[in-house]
Amino acid sequence: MDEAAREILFHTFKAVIEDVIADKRKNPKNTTTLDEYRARINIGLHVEEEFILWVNLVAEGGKYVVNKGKLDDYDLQLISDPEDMMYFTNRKYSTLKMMFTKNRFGERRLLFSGGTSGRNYGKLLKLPKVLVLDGK
Amino acid sequence: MSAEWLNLYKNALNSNDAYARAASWWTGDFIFVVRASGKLDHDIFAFIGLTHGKCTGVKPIKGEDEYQVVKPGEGASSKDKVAVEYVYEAKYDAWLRILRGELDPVRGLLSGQARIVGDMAKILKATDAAKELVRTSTLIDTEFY
Repeated sequence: MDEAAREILFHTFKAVIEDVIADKRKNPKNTTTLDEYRARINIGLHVEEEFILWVNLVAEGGKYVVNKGKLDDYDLQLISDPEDMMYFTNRKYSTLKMMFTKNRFGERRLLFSGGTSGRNYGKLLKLPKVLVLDGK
Repeated sequence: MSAEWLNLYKNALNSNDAYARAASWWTGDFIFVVRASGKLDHDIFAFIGLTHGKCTGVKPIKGEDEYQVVKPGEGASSKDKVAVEYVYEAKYDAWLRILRGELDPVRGLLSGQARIVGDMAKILKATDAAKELVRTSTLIDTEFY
């Protein structure tokens, strides 16, 4: 994956996160969840067999910021093929499918681990409420 | 994407029941951009009008000055520009693979080989329609550069 493709993928992923959050904010029922969710998450975008593009998402005070690279201090670490992550976000893939079935590289669709601040399973379980789109 | 090819594409899209079903709720016009690479030495732009599962119009566009990406319901700032909600852009080599059915348009997007401008949340709700939109182009007998 060349540098130009990495840059395009980063900006696409950033736009996905920002637009999904904006879309969820259209529903007042999501406001409290979106405002209260706090997490520092390293996200590995597994795009090629031997290559993972690392980005990070920091959620705090109702703001969601995506940046390049890995955080030194983080609450969760996720690795997923961005295509699978997109199908998770648009509700095509369930959480169970993401956790227990394999992707095109033979890995689980969603690999997750805790962070430097602990296991943080609560933050992991709340993540779909933040990143999964509401129905049409 | 000549005017002739675009008209064939419009007819094919309007005959595609799978697209009509998947995009029955969709409104939002597109510009397709083919960036010069490989055997193609110039950029190509095409307008694709899409409303409720039908293609409402197609036309070749000369360049970036002739369109404007707007939010739903908004118009362009000038009458010389066509207002669209989305731009889907890739290099010619990537388009070749897409048109031959070798590269899924969504995977193209999420591997950095293609890019999209516009509201991603709405696109995410329409991935089946997006795939049919592109799959339809593979049904046309196409002469490449």
